[in-house]
Amino acid sequence: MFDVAIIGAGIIGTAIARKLAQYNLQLILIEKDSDLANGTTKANSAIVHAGFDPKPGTLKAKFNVAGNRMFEALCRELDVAFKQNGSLVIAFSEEEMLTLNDLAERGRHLGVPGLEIVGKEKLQDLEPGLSKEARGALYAPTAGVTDPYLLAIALAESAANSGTEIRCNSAVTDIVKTGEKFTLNCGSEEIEARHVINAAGLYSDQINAMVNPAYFQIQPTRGEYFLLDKNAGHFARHVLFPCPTKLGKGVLISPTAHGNLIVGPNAETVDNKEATETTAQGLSFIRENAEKIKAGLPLHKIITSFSGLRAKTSVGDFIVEEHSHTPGFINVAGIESPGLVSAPAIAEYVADLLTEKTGPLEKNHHYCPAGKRHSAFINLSEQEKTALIKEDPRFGRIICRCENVTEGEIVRAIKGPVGARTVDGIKKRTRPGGGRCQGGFCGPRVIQILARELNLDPEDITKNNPGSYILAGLTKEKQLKVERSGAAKETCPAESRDLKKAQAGKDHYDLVIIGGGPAGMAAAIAAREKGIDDILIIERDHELGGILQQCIHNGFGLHQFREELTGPEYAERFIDQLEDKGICCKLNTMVLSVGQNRRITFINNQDGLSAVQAGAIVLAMGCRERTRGAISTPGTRPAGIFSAGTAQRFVNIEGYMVGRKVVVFGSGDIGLIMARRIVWEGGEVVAVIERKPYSEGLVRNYVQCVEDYNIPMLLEHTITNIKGKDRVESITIANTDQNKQPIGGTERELQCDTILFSRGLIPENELSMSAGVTLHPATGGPVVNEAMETSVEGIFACGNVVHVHDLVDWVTEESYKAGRGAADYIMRYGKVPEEGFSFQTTPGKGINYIVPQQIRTALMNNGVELYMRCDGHHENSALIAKAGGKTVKNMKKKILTPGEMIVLKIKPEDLPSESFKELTVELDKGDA
Amino acid sequence: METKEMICILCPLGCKMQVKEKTNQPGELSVRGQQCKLGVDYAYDEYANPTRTVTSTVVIQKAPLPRLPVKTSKPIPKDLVFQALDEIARVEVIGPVKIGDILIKDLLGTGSDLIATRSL
Repeated sequence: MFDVAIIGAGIIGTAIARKLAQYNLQLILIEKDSDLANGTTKANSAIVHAGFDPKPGTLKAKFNVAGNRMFEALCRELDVAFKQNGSLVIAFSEEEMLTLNDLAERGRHLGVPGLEIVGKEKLQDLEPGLSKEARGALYAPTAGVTDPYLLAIALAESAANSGTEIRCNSAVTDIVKTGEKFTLNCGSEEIEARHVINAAGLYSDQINAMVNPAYFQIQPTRGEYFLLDKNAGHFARHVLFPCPTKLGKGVLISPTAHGNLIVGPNAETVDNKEATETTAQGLSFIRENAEKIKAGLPLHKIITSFSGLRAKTSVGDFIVEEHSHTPGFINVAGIESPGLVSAPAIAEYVADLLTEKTGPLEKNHHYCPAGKRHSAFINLSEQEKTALIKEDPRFGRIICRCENVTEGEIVRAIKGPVGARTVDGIKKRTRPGGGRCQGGFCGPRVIQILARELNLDPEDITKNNPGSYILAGLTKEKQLKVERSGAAKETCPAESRDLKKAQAGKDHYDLVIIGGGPAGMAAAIAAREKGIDDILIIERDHELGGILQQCIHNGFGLHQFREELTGPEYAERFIDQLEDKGICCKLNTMVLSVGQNRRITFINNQDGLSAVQAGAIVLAMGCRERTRGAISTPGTRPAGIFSAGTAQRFVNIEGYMVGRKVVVFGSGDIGLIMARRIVWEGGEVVAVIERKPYSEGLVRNYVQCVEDYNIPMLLEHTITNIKGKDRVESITIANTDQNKQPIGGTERELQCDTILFSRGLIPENELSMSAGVTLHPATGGPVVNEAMETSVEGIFACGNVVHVHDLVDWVTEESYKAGRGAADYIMRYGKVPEEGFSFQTTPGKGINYIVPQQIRTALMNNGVELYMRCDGHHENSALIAKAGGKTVKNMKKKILTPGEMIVLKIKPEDLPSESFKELTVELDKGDA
Repeated sequence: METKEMICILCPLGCKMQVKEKTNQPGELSVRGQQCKLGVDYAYDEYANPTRTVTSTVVIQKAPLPRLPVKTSKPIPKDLVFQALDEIARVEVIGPVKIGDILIKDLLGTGSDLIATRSL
């Protein structure tokens, strides 16, 4: 028999559990889902409100102000992020200024400290770049942002360490009171308790109705959000609110506790307590309203969108009471905003309600106020990092590249009293998959670690609740009668190779190449051939070759080797050369930053946190896939949504099927090739969906991957909704108009269990930014010159980090150039030849971009290849290059498409002899 | 004679062609819709004996990774692709394997071998 059973492990249930754990009570915390913090706590604004907004006299007002005062100490104690960045409610009219005065008055009356009405000028100081229309604002310095789910988990850990039992996957289906005893029916077991606390959030009305009259109803009210990349986090300093209306606080813009930017929510009453899908209407409403507060929102930096449900009641206030009908049963219900900030105050109040009944309670001598360490490894000091890696080398292995989360943190998240059991559980605790690639790179590795630590098969690992399976069996299942050999063991494929290991402690290299894919390998080989001996390649993966290793299809090497190779074959030719030439590599090594004087900070589990200084650097980090989140495809967020490249890794390297009934969204080459792979492994491809009127991939891939297998290619279609709670169940598709937008009324449903997104690639330049390299808006990669040198002297770049290539052969060619350029630079000690002149390349009509962007004639040698892409499908056009008022090249082109890179070689003799500033390339569309 | 619709894959134009065997000249094809003569050559290959290179994986034991990428050393007749995949699904190799190692000699009598496309 427990003294107290708490139903619901959201922020409220966990705060109450920890508070009560201070007393000598037998406690149990019961959660219906597979993890804590899985409802409203998981998806909200994460704002710690100052407290001027609620009506005086309400519980909301009381708990908000009190909770805000407790918040800083609580987060410090639990090692959870809390940034008290202050909030601004912004007025755009005289009328709204009056509302601000009322709010300020109300806030002062409620005891909110530091409130100030700021005028136009001070407002621009506080929040530069705000719309000039803003008249003034109410500044509340005590408002802030936190990490709500980690806070709930930390509260639960503290409770668990103090003796509280925690039961997940346990839904209360009935409660019976006999005498002083409650019996909770939780499916497979019955739990008995003297007191029950109903903190069941959206379901608190149903739990209440098990023992009480149904005196309140929860009306789920959905709020949708956008989350933007960390490099957009600085867009707002404060929590920015519009002036509140009857409908609520409105669409806010705020940095998050982790430095991202959050934008939202709307407020829509829904009739389903699981309706956490996003909608096209909701997301466009948020976009429009956010623009009103601060224009220029960098929407291209959206990494995901999500929605959460508020547990609103008709009462309009929190319900925190024991109903007279059932003594011993305390409702904590209707905890909508400002519930998060109120949680610690509500917990104290509930403890008071309980002691009123029980009399003074004995202290729990085993009370443990703190849980585990939660500070992200990457935010620790250099000394702390080094010490941790020494203690446990797994802290030296970065698993999530976007958030720099280490294996040590993931293991820590799994171990312990309320450890993660699911991929989402890991993400809530340590954030892998919460970054810009949305788990594209780290997802397979997180599954491996979970399976290893929990002693499960990777196929048994779910995204969230049971049913949200990620892997759908093994490839070659027929063959595997005995041993189910799935994901890679902890051995390293490169160990079988004879690659030269870097000398430990060596802290200077003539040339350091970041990335050991096709670009990095070619750059190393070219530099070595030019006479540079002292080269280091730093690679984050456990082997060289990059993405080629998972591209097991053929079609590589036609230009470089005049034969058709598969990706691994192409890679192996280069790895062999590196081996022969004795070029040093550090594998499993993540570069964290490139600083002044070409100092590269990196981390691995052998050197720990370390740095090298380079005479020259070649950036060759490649690209990442554009995710479902980045393009804001509306719908739910179940398992079964992959980017095509992630699926490719699962199928080709790890040997897992990603689904059985697959839709491919986007007709890029990776998507088409994956469609055929799925068919070849016994799956079904329901359709390939393309928004444009033509397939984006190579004709060959269309014919041999799609047409050969009678896969429907739905051109001028888009996905307007994704359905399915745990796993994808179906999608809604619609025809698109000329602007690639869905046409209303053309929607229809397709059944599927998996969606592969093949919606383009994005050069991965976070390190380039840390080095101060200028990026080009059209390519997304560094601006480079003819030697592939970036805007920062001595830093070169090549391959997909510069611009996305369609053929690896061009990557190799470009990377040889970068390697030679870096070698020249090293041998010239940075001195630039003075003869000649330099000119820019400028894309003209019909051309989207040209690489390189700058050319020095003295270094053109016998010519420079210009790589460029055109803006559409053009037949029978002419490609014209002009410089200094003269046409220097005029080439007839039978067919040009955006999918195929145009290569135009300019030789010195083509150019006017007198100096000019600009070479323009344009497309003369002729009669086409 | 049956008319086959096909798309030429030799350049991004992707000409849609109608290909038919001439009734009076067996072995001679009538090709329409192509914009250059490469299309005619492609049509001849694709009409009489369409072939495809198959690339897949096989189970590998005692290796650092659970699957080994493989391919047919030459394109094989298109109608044999699924049969070839069935054969491939039955292969199990023990590491280490060198790139180019032959895993099945003369796959389905096509004269093409199944070979490893990486060392593992």
